[in-house]
Amino acid sequence: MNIIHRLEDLVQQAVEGGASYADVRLVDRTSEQVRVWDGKTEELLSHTSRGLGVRVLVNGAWGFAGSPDLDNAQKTVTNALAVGRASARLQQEPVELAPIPVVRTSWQNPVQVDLRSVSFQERVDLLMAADAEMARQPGITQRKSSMGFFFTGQIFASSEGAFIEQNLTACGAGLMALAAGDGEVQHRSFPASFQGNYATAGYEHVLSLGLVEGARVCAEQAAALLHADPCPPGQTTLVMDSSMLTLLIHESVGHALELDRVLGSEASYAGTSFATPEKLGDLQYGSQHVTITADATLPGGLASFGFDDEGAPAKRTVLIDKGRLVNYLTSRETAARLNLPVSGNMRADGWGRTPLIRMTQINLEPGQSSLQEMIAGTDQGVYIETVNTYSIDDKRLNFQFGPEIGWEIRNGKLGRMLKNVRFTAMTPDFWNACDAVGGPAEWKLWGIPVCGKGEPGQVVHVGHGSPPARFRNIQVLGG
Amino acid sequence: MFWTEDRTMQLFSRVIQAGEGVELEASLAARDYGLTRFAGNAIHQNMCEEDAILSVRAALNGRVGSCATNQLDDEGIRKVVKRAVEIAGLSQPNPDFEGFAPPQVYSPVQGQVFYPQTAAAGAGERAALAGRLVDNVSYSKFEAAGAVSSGSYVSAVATSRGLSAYQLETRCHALTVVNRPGQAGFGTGYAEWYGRDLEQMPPEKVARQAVDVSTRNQNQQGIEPGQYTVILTPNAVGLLLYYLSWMGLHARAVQSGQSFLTGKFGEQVLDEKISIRDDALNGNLFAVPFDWEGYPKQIVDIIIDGRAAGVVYDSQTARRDGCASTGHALSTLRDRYYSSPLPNHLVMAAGESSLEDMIASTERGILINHLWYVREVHYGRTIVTGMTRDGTFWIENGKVAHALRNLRFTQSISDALQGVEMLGSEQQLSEQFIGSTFTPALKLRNFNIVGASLF
Repeated sequence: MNIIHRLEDLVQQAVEGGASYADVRLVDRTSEQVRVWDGKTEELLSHTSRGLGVRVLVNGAWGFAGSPDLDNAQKTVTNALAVGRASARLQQEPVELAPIPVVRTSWQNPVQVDLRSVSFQERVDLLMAADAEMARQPGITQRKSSMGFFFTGQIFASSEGAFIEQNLTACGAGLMALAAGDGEVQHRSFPASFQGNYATAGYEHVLSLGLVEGARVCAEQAAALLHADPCPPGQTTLVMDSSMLTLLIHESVGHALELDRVLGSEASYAGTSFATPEKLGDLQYGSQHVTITADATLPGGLASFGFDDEGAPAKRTVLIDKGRLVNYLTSRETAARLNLPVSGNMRADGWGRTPLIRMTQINLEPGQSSLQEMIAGTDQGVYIETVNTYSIDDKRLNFQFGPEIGWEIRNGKLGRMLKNVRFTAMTPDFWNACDAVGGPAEWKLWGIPVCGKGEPGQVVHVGHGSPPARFRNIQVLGG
Repeated sequence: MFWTEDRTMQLFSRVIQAGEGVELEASLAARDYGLTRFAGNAIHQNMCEEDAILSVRAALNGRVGSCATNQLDDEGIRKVVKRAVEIAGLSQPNPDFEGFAPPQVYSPVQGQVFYPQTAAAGAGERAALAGRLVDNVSYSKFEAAGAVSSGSYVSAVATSRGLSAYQLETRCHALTVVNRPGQAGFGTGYAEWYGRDLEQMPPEKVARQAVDVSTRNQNQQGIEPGQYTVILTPNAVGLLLYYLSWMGLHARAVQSGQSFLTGKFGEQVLDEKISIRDDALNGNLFAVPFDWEGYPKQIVDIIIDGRAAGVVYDSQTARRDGCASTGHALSTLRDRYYSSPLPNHLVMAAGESSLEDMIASTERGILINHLWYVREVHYGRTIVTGMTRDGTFWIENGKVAHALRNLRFTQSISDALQGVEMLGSEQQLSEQFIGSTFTPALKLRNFNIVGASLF
């Protein structure tokens, strides 16, 4: 019998084997990568992985097993049950799950240009054209261009009767130009760092990035950075474009509000969170200009889907409302512990990993201002673009970030280019220093294909939408 | 049945046959693995996983295409080979590609790399070890988070030119972060252990080490930003060495001008006390004696007595420099953040000092137990930023005086390694994002502390 038709039988076998709850995920995932490096096709790769993940609750404790051996799927169920029983060796409170609707449906994201109709040749040609633009710029010593396509088919079935089939198609691309000379090394990415900008969409998304046009500016700026002035240290105003804000949102809000982490489950690896439960509803996480949401329903969002990996529907959750902490990213287990809504944020990296609470799209909602207005309203400061360096402590408090490029602001106007801009702050101080947020016209959604968490490590796609924003009195370190 | 050498070579034979005369390279990365995770003295995540990924590269007149799959039946093999050949046909000729490797001769990794009892261990054994660790922590009135893992791993490569290489190994790991009950993340202590033999895993010792650090990591005080003498434990040194290697100790970084070694070979670039080599055959590291192109891993002296000596190569970077591959090609399945080649079995030579010697010799300084979220700030100057965590202590007049809040540093690694005062006598294995390191403790004259957190 075809494995798809056996999934509910496997769930039933887990229940008969002693599980009070069980779910299975059959995942079929293909990724295709094209990489052009210094004018040569560095890599053309297609990678397919198919397998089954079985998750069970046995005597109130979790067990998980994953295997690509679909002909012996019963063995995977048996293994999961054995793992769950072993968990009982060290158990305190039995796991309880908050209820969710039981759904039997299918979902897929819309695409305009089918990725499967785009040949490797066409993708190589586009990246080669971008590479050629970067190569025109003197001083560029390394040029990288990459494009990725992702096809994920998943069927989820649970002992509660859920049966959900989802098909996700995603793609994206990005460039990097590295300049070296006179003992200095600088680089510039387009349209963003972290491999570029990705979306759940068809090839129309890649074509919309403007890679060839962007390559020229990318290379020019990388070369110019070699001779730019280092950023002077001091307390100053920072105006950030949305590509710079993505990782600030990611590290200082997104990870900090994963409730499993808040409750200590990541203590031995990525750490805990300063945003502990007694602060819910009270903590002024940011200024009144700061409203941050989690939203897996955004069209085209790289982390948009119909249902998460425990069958909860995708939804939009306000996490920070006009600066006040009002919610967390939750799972059925953590929602039950704190009597909070299930936010639909349980996601797994393929069939071989158990779901964890992960970000989806975590967004700074638009405000009333504009980039032009923010710069015009700044006597002295720095305007910065595109994440370069980033680091945050294990409670998501003390951080240091740096952009790829900056420009001095003097008397409301952009001036000289600056390099090696780095700034440091404590998370609530930073977000409370926000005094202006750009409007809807300048709000942009970015897809980042690499967010890591967990032991063993898992990588999922995430997204962040943000307009530009301004922050006062931020400590800038010398370049 | 796990991937024995016979089974693996039969798989490769089927792959080569499916190519029908096309030049092919096949590699297999297989694992049978489990990890038991605990927090608050309870197991909260527990998993096991098996997988085997076949990667095939096809070459058509210098054009190379790659395809990978975990569907290893006849149909899956046929599809992956066909796709690799199709993709190769769409590629452009790569002037740095000289063909897949011919047969090679390998030296084995020193010592035993496979332990049958570790391979046979399952969730029950891991839970029992986790239980011993947690019991020891909770007996001391502390609370533990951490993980115990074990597994078998196969790495294998074959080419249509007759190369074949295979290694079966076991690896296991225990780590814990402990704190007072209900104080997760505050006053923490960290300890970990790596090995190949699960029966050698010392959960009680790991527990005691972490509890000892946490016991001392209370009532933390602050310090002003500035340059300080620091003592780094072996695992902290390993992480910094890993970042140094990624930024500058490989041919790609030198060829692009990114590396701090570019143009400096033969010159003094670090303190003369520092010698670094990539040594995959050193039985103290997790290593395989061949790379993912099938070339034997060479022992590469990178820094000798502080002088820049060499870097690692894969076949393509070697072609550009007119030399031979040192056997450091990464897998096509690697995290796309990393480029090939990369030194991934780094050994820093030991010295003669114990950690106690280093502390006793320090008038004013900082003892750093563990580093976290280290990231590159400037590749060419090897500047990184990061945090200390799980035990940072102020040393005064040769004694640990009190605990410090977690500190942020921003420091050029190469600059810091130009001021080495003492090297530890004992090296310790740490696994990194890619590869592993075997490093001693270090006492460094100048380390730039730029701030602190609140805990």
